[in-house]
Amino acid sequence: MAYGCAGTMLIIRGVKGRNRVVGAVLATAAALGACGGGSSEQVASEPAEPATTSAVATSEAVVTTTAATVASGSTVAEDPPAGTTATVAPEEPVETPTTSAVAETTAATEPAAAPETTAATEPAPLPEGPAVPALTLELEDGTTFVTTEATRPVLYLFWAEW
Amino acid sequence: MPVVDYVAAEFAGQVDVIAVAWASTHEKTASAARGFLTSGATRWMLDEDDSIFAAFEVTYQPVGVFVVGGVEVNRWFGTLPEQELRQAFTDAIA
Repeated sequence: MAYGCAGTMLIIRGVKGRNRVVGAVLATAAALGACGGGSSEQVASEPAEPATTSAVATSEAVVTTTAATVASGSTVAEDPPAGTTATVAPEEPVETPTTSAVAETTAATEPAAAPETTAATEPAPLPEGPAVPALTLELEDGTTFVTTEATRPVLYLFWAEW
Repeated sequence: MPVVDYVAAEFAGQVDVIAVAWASTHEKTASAARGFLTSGATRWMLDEDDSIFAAFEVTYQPVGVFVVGGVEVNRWFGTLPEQELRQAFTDAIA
């Protein structure tokens, strides 16, 4: 933005004396006017210094166009401001891809983590085979044993006393 | 039966062993159990009306049925050598 503001000043040779100082002031005003669209203080102050310095250092008068001229003239559009716009504009696209890259990275990470969590919480596969009959066995020791509520492996041994 | 009870004692706390006796008299079955099931690791019962044999589709004895997670995973007919029997227990708790 600083380049764009400096570019809005027009220098006209041939003016002497007091008009030289006034021209420098106007140049600053013109620069500020051209930068009116900007919101940064930096943008407004940077062009003012080179404009004033050049006006005082040179023996020739410096006159600038009015703020209105600068604002409405083609100079603003053709000179550095246009280039400035071109220079600044790329900064935003640069940020956008960065944001996208972060989003992609996050998106790529999350799905990868999900299966691990799922795999870690999945119960062990059940053994294959016929289901045990649902029975309540009255054991000789006075306890009951429900076949479908066993919490550990069970061996049913079918036998006879003879 | 003594071998089964012996191995059952080795896996006590990891495997439940339920001996289901074919219909007979309680006195005879209890007498046989006292002779065979000495470790206390094998609990037993008398299937007075053969309903449990029928539910497990067992038509003769001896038959061993291993159930893990409510599912029958192993069944054998007759008696198993001690080594094979121990392997069956080991497979059941794996």
